[in-house]
Amino acid sequence: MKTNLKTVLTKRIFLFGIYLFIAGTVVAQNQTISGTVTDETGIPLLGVTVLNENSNEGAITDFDGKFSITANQNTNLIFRYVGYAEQTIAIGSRTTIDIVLQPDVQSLDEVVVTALGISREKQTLGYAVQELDGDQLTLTPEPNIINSLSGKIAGIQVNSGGSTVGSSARIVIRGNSSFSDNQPLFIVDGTPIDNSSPNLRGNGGVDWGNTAADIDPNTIESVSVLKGANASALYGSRAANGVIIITTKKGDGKNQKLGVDFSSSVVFDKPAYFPKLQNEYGGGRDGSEYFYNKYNQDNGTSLSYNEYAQQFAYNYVDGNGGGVNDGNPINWGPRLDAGLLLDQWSTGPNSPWESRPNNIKEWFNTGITIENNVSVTSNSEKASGRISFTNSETDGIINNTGLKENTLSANLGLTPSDRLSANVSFTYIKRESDNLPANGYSWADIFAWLQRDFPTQYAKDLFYEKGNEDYIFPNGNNPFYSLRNTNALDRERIFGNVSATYKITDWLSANARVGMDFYNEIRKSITQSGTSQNIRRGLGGQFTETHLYNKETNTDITLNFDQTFGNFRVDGLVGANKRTNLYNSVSVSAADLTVADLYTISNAKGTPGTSMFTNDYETNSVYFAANGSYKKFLYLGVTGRNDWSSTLPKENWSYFYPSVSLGLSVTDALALNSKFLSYAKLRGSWAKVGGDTGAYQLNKTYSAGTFNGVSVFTPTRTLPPTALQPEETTSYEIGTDMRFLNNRISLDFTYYAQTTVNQILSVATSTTTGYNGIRLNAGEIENKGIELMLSGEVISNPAGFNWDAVLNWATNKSIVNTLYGNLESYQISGGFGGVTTLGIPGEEWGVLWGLPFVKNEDGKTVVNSNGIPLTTNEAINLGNVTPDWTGGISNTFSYKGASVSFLIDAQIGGDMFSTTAWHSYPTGAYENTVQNGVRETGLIVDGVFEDGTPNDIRVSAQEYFNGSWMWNNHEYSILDASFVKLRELSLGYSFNVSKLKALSKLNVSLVGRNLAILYRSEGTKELGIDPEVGFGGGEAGIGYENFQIPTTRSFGFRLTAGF
Amino acid sequence: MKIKTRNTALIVVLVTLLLQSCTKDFEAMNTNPNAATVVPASNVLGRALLTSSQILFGERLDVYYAGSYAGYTAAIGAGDYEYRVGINNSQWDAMFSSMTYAVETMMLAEEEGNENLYAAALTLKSYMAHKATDMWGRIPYSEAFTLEAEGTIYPKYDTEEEVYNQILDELKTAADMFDLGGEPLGEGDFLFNGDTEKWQKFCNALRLRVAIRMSSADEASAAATITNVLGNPTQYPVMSDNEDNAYLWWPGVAPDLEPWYVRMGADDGNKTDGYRTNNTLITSLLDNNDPRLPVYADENRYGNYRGYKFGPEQLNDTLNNGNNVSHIGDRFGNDPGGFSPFMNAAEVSFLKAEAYQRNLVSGGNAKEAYDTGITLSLKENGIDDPAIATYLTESEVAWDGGTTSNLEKIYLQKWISLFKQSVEGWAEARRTDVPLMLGVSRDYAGAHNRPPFRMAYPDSEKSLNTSFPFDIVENDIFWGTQLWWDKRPDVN
Repeated sequence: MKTNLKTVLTKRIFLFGIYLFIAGTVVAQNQTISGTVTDETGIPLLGVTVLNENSNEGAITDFDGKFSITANQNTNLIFRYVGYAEQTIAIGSRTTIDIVLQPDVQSLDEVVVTALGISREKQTLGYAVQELDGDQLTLTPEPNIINSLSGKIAGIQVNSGGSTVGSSARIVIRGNSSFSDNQPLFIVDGTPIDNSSPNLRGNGGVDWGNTAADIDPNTIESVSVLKGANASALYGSRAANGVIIITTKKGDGKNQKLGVDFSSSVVFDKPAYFPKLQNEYGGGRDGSEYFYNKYNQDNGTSLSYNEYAQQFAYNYVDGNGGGVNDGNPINWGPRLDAGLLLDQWSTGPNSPWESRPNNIKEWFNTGITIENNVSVTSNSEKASGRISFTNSETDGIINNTGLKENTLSANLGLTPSDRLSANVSFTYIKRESDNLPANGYSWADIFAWLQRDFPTQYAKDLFYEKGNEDYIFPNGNNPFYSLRNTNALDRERIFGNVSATYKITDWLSANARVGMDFYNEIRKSITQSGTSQNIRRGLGGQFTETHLYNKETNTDITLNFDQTFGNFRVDGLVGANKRTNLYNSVSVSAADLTVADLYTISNAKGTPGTSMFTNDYETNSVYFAANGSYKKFLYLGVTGRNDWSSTLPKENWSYFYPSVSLGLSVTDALALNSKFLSYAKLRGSWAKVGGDTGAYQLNKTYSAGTFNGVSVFTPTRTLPPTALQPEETTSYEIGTDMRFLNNRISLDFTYYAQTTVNQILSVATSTTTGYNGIRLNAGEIENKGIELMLSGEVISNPAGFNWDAVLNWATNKSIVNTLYGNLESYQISGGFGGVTTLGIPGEEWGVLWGLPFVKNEDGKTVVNSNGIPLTTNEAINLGNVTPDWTGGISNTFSYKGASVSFLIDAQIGGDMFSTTAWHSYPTGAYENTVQNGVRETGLIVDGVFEDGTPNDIRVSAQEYFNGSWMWNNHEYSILDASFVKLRELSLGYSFNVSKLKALSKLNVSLVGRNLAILYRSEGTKELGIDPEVGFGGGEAGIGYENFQIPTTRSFGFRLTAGF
Repeated sequence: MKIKTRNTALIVVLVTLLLQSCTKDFEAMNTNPNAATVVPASNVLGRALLTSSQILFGERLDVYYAGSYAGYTAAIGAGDYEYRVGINNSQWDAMFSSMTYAVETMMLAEEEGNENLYAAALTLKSYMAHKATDMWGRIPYSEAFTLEAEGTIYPKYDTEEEVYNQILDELKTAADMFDLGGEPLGEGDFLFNGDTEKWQKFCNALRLRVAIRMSSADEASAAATITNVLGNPTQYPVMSDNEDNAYLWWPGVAPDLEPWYVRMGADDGNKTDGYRTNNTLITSLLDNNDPRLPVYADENRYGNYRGYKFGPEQLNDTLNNGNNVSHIGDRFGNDPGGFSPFMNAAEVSFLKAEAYQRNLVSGGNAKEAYDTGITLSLKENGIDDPAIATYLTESEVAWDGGTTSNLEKIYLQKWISLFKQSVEGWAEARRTDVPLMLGVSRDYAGAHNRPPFRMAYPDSEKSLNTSFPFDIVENDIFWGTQLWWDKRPDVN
């Protein structure tokens, strides 16, 4: 027996797969044949399998594309290489055979990365996987990788956390299957990466960002999305919501021994979608013509409008109630631009009462992000590597906010012998911000509660001159000063892995990998002593500083096998995994400081607030995967995994789950050779995935606090479970992959159904039971959906004009089948004003539950004897937060070096509770409170009295919109959240550098993101709201809009060069 | 073949090793290192007391809601009776949480064999339950707090009468359990700093309070309880001096600050918050030249005292705004080391006065008790003896003086002495119609002639407790049927 294999690292590393190490043994007889295998451009191909058809023995080409094999001259040699058409050559009398392999159009783009980082030909899979090229992510610069996936993958839903710097984004694949965590698992080069994110509720708060945003898009070679439990069974518990597998760029020199790439971009973020505010009435109360006329009528007086306004509506003296309505002047004051002269803050006594239509725009700047990336790649026979450095700095659109990021990553592959290969890759990230502003309701003070005539520029100038002094409201803060009460972030993170593969025999290899992801994060929020609350109470300021430490380690050992028996091939692996997670946090805070504005804990006055928290858990697993194929048309895959989780009780901490998948290439099986139908595959799979819970859920404990130096203990408010079982998700999917007209059009269709049972939930209980909830296994959620991908080379002319188009579309229905016992609802989240998001048996996930208008049997709004809508405290189902369908269309047009591409992205259906809409009524700041002259003439609410007679009572706009009935009504604030957006546009040109020695490539492009909202509902349009924006990265922010910071249009310029 | 054997062996060894090591430390690892599993009962009582103070004497309920309904305070700019689902749920939850912590204390105290601590916790639980039933009417009580012990997930709603009877039973149990020579209460007693005797007096005083409240509905039971307490002063002593007051005093150092101060306090005297005094309170004090006026309220910027008017008057009166309405006095709203008043001795004297006056118990002197009540309240507010003497001679204050009946005088004086105990003051105003409040906030003015009858039941209870009695009548959220002991005629 003799093995004549040479194991080398492949040039195209994403093709690197264990199955390439096909055994080749040759009987030492007859002649030795050698030769070179090249691609169509003459570049040697390494790793090409050269197979003796008779003996099934073979060889693999080396780094220079050379091979050597001994064979009988009567046999044929088969040359196989992934992505290239197979060739069979009769040896005859030749001893040298040079072969040029032609790309296999059918499978060129079909190698995808699957679970555990294994590259597989897509046609062998029995489940849906979709892969994106790294270039598609960096086409238009977007720092958060989640946002750049939007619209590009069928069946994902992305919610951007808004336009503050470093904000989170949330991604869900195939709908929500859980009430608490639905986000997929992120894997970088085989290592799970933490993607925790602040789970902000509808009220908003500081968005510290989702941690997967640390991944530098510049280093990404490809992103592979495993969509359901079927594709991801091998990752176990956490993969039930799908997996996003990121493969980073590695030594990719092709012919180069050394390569340097450089890219640079400048992007401007321009606040684009402003709320629709009115500019007709200013601050004050009772100031409209309606009140003025009524006053003169009722009192038999003949005051001028100016006299009336000054006496009863608005007159500034001290901003503290000393004048007329000057302490709380919301927008029910006198008409602007009507020649009135009133005493005002910025312009003084008897100054013109004028509108300031730009006073919201003046709060914001144009943001700018400058990013530079340089990478060095080197490649040789025994070692190859890539080092990349990215620096990015952002100035936010909000005053005094910004973000800095430096990412250093390195990949090194060593091949010391033909049996051993080793790889190390790591990424170091430092992410810093001096100030991440709070999102949400705090912005109501600027958008809604402030006077429409407010002089923003004056306030800003005053801040730079005097700080927080002399603000319009002596007890309020100049908002520009408030932005000096900062929330700073400093995160340092390293993730990466070391792996080694040893070829035991030609068909068996062993692989070991240790992967790690850890970060230290410091969050520091301060409130300065000059803040009005602190001045009033004589306090020296406050701060909270929190140190977080998070680490996950994964150790995997696998044995990989790959054997071919005639027409059958069997490959797969057996492996074991140990995963440990450790999280620590320590937080200190001071409610008062002895020396003002010295933010250190020893300076705390009174008892410093302190807390610490540790979370530690472990899972161990053994797993196997086996794939069998018959010829090249029938594929069977089986996986199994058993987990042991420390978070579950002893009797249930071990659980097993299997999956099976089947793929059939109909065209190959029937040897169809149709010009119309080039390829057709059917696939189907079934899988079960188990899941555990968080640490420390099994026992009753008391959490500690202090009062006056004495510890106080609070008992757990969630009743611990008795015999907790693992969660269980069962899913199946069927799909087809079809190609038409010589592969120019391809259609991929998937139908899936997934049921999650035994969810580990804290089910809410009435507080009167002594607990707020019980942790137990409960509920059944079912997700069903369809995904479609249609792509085509509409016009294909390699030498001229090309048009490629990709369309994806998906719909998902997530139904809550059951909860627990008689429980009528499960609360997923709550928003401002008491609206909640619920899971209700028989309803879709995410019902918006709130207070409606009181209606009679005919559906007419019922009003009280004052002509104002009646209120109720019986909440009802007002909508649902999940969209009906999502989709995207991308088009690329190219002509020689020039290309234009754009992406349109849509989410249709689904509702949200808009806190902006809710406050548009009482604050009188929005356009909807001045339409149809209501402030002059008042209005008669369209409704009936309780006895059924039509309402005939005229009320002022102020009485209606600012009446307290509206605090007991959520119905008018539920808006349709549909949108269609022009998400990306890129105009690029690649220079022909073939004549230049120094340059290998040069590309410039103009790029744009979020350029236009092509469609949104009437409700969101009327208020000027971007329907897409949610909060934070968690479930809790879904379906809530709360004084969104204007979303931005981004324009920029990008240059990439290779040396 | 050789290779295969070796591989198989390798797999077997690997898997075996893994299986053995994989669950070894799991139980230790999953034991929570962040929180205790066994704690001293006293420190849980501390939690219960703090939660009780923060909800009952915090700004939202004490100033904004019950404060408005009781006629003590007003939230200007938002002077309507506000209902918001989330806030409403949280009031209910906080009330029941504080009772939960008291029940937890009782359980731990029982394990520790500390009867005094058990009795103190039981007193607190009953105190909060009394507040809760007076706020909502029917509440789950007999089956409440038994999820862990009995698995009761949907506790049934008791009638108000049942709740009252259980409270009286519990308070009697506690009263009989206190043992001045028994186990100490420990460091978590923030109310009386470990003084068992004061707890005993508080407990018995509560029995009087509960009995008097129910006396309009079940006079016989009320009389029996009152007789039992007042007839056995040695066995059942009650609060008699301001020293006995059940006041939780705040340390006054951040973050342990008195809740009203946190919301409206101003060291620089520049009080600006929308929380102000109510016209009903200010007129009641002005009418009788009450020396407590400058303690309860500040002069407005023109040197006068004015309270915020509710109802139809709210709109017509151009002076009814922040510029003219008096702030709440420093003793109540601007002292970081201020107090949360669970109950005071003045009230106990008024309870006695009413019992004597209505002959619910024999042998007492109503006038003496009434004068003592006034004296205690004025003294507590720093009023000197000559001023007290003068006040006692005001025509509508002096016993048998003026045009108001003695009973009405007791009601009014008690209501004034209950300032900052808004839930209690609101209940008294609903029981007695003293002071008479006709002006209802503008949104409901068309339909109602009295302030709200009850708090709205929380939305959460309707969805989480299948035992919720859906036939309870709630009109315009805050009204519906009157509470059990509210026998006022012709109110709506």
